[in-house]
Amino acid sequence: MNDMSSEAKGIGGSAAQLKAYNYNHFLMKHLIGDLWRTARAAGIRPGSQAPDFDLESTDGGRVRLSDKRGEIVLLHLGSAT
Amino acid sequence: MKFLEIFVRQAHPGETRGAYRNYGEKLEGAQEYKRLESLPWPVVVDDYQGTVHRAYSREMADPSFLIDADGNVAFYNMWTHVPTLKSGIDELLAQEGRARTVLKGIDRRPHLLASFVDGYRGPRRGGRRGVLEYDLGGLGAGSLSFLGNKAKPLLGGLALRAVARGEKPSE
Repeated sequence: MNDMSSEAKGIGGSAAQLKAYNYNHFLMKHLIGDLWRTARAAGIRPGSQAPDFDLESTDGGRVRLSDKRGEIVLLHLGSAT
Repeated sequence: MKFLEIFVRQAHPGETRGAYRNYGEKLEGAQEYKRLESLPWPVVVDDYQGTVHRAYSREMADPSFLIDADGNVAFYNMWTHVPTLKSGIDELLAQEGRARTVLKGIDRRPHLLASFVDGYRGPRRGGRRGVLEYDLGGLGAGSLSFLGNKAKPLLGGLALRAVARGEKPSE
């Protein structure tokens, strides 16, 4: 699987970018952004290798996507609110 | 097959649950979310920059992905829709988990009915401001989700079905 680090290049680490990503007010531009991305099919290309990740789990462990090879995985990206 | 939830930023922050100020707050939010939603599958936390969120979906609010047994993105459901995902899973299983793509690889339809009928508790968790801003920024979506939630007994059968219309649920 691809390493996420190359995908992550240019992804915002500046204070302004972090604040924009972790917004505290939902605005119309966020809805329009989703519709715009939908129209352009923005995001990962179907059929391509899933970028790998190694993330902390709520139970204190870690989960690496590439460890799931050999199985079908359903990923859902969810928000508390 | 495995289910995995990747926890991302607040979609509808408000006075009760605001934007996360750091990764630690986000991790605590994920732990609470797993408990409140009674999720039986693992919940992992994206980093504070949203690296996975951006790489996979460029920040879409509610996307899902089916990854096949070889690690390919077999299906990208831009607006998560359970019956569509079920069809994709069935198609993948029929090909022993190795399909590269199923259902032509992507579903871009904005599936709003389920979100209005079952999605009110999200912004409500943010607080009154979360709902109000969802309404103002979402062209009435806050009100529609409030009403949809009230109409859940009526609309639930259609909006929250697990399989596509006309298809029988599997045992």
